[in-house]
Amino acid sequence: MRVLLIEDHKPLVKALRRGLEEEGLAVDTAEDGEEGDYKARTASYDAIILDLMLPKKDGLSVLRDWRKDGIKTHVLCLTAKDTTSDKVNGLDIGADDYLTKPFQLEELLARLRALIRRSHQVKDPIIRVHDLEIDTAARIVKRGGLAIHLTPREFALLQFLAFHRGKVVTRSMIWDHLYDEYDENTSNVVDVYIRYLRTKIDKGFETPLILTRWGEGYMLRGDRE
Amino acid sequence: MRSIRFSLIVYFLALLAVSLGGISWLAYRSLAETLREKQGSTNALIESQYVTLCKEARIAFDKRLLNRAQTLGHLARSSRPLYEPLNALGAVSSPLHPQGAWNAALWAQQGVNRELVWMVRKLRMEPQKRWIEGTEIYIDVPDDFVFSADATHGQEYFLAYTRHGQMFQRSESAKNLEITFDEQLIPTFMEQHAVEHFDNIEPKPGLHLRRITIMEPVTRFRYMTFDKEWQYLRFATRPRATPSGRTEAKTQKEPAEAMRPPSGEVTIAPVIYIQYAGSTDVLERRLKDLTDDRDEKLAAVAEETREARVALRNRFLWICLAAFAAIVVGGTVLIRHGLVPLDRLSEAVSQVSAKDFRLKIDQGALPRELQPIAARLSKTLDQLQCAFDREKQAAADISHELRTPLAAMMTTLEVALKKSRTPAEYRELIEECRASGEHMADLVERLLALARLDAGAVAIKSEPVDAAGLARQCAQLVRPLVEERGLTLRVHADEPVPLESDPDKLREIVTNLLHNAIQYNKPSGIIDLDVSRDNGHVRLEVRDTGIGIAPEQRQRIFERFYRADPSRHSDTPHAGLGLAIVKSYLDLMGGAISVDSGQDGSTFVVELPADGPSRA
Repeated sequence: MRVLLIEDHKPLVKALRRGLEEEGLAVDTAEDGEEGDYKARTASYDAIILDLMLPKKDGLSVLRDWRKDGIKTHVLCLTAKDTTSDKVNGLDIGADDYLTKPFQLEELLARLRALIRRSHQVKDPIIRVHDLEIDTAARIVKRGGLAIHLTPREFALLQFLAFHRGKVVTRSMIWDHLYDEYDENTSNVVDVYIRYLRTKIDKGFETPLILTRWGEGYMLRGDRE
Repeated sequence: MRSIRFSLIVYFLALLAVSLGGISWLAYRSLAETLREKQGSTNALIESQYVTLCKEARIAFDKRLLNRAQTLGHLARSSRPLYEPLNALGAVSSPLHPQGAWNAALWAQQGVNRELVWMVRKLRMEPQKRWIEGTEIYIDVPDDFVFSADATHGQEYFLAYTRHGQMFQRSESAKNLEITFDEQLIPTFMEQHAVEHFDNIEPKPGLHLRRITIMEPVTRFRYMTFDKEWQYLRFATRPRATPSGRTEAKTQKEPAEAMRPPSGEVTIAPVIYIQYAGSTDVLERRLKDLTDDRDEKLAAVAEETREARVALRNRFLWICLAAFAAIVVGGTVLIRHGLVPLDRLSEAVSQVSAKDFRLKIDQGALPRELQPIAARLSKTLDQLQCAFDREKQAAADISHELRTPLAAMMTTLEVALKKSRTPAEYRELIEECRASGEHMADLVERLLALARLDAGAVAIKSEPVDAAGLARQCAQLVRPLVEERGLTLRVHADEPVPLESDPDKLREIVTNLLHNAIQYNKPSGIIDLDVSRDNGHVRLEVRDTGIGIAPEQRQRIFERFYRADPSRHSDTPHAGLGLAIVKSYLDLMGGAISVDSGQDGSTFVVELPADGPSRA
């Protein structure tokens, strides 16, 4: 899952990036409003973390413009302003969630996960495919009752497939959502991760769940298949 | 606490009471004086009337006495002289008379029986004739002529005397009285003055009489002639102007012409003295009546005056009371009415709250006296509102400035604790935490500096400083940052510029200004730092080639947390406090800061007195 972090306080950016990446999220960052605006318009993100006090163009203006221009990406506002009127104002302009500094990283992550689920129209944090159980909140994957250990990147990939279960996702879609702006786009990195995932999910089971659509991409088995 | 309304009413009423009392007292005094004068003049009039009436009463009384006496005199003059034989008593008494010897002889011869008859004027003895000139008078007084003790006239008396004091007739009423005849004084006085004589006598104790004595010449008298035979000794009528006229012998039996004394030898007519007296009781009664009448009138006037004065006093009292009551009511209403604007102002002030500092009152509708108060209050409230807003903003700013690094630190810590890491990773994360902590500590330090400045707890040292050297040191401090940003810093401070000042504060000021110049400069910009001495002042100038400051922002940049770009976060922990601290320090050091700004950058100029802050 790929998120955009727009925040001008460098130590916070650094800490957040590390925290989010360790959760398997791909993180793009922007240090001012204009840069953040540009990135949000040019790439597709599963969620955006937006600080409201930014140089050049403040967060509320940026958000207002996005909503005006039809950009529907879910936005979590991050701010030091904690009065109710500030929150109401932010939510009214089009923020999907609101978090006041200082915050618990866990809370930020949970809210972010919820936003990502919502952006993929998924409500139940536990996604079940045949005998595979993906708990997106606890980040636990089980198949046939047995827990499977996945790296954050593998989990992110499985989650992305699960969000689109029964539908083909292309390699570029996977790339766009799982890798950040600094990752080197090599042609087979997605295939490599699919192979890792298959080894952990499908190996030893009769029904393969990760299917390959030649010339198109990959797909997590839907209910009809 | 005293109420203005109450005080005003009390003062007003006190003033009113004093003035009303004073005016009433004066008016009463003058009116009472007028009344007294009126009473005095009325009294004088009554008194003079009384005196006049008394005088008139006395005159009337005297006139009556005179009238009676004169009437008696007329009677005496008109009465027919009598001739009566002498009697023994007359003979006895006659020697008392100076020429009584003749009387006695006559009485003895003629048998005159009246008490007092004779007026001997002349005695001539001739060889053949001897005759005496004299008269016998009897006043034929009617019985009721003398009033006897009636209410109107009182008791009256009369007495008739000869010239020599011999009483020859008196009224019945005078019989028992010893009324003397001052024969020496009265005739002499009367002959000299030829007038009536009044006097008061008291013939017996308790009987006061007013007496008039008049002198009456007797015109009808006879000559009494006698010859040697004493046969014709009889009175003859005094001859008239024509001595040739014959007398009627038959009727008058007058002596013959020859017996008449020769003309030229007749001397003055004999006179008698008539005294008429009346009891002064009548007069006294009359006078007493007049006195009583006068006293009555005086008392009436006094009573009238007293009543008028009382009525006047009461009227003034009522007027005062009515005026006082009216003004108590009217004054209360007026004062209440007059204080309505104050109430409105008070109401408006009471509606001022921390949420709304506006004074909700139409200042134009207030009276002129209250307008400055309302205006001043309004202004103060506006300033308070600004200060309040600024404080609120400052609190929000402080929380924001602290929360962001705090969030960074906590996030870093959480990341660090999330899983076990290599020592290098821990070190890196802890370093980040320390950086955030330093950032916050720096910020807190600045806030504390401002708080100390506000509390007046910052002491400014004064020691010799070389401003040029200090500027070079500061430039050295910020040079790494300058180079990191790709900027150029030029210091124009070659000559030493000595100065009496606080080097720590001065360093902080210059560093702050340089940081600002770095932060707001455009890429590859230039920063100039000038130090010069000018007319007793040391001048530090920091010029940048940055974005400039809009004119409306130039005054505000020295406010706390104010930043020309409100959403601008910086790497340095200035948080919009730098210029506020600079300004506060300069205020303490007796210096000043000004800013000039245009399209191609801003210039901050610091001016400091070369010989330190004046202690005056």
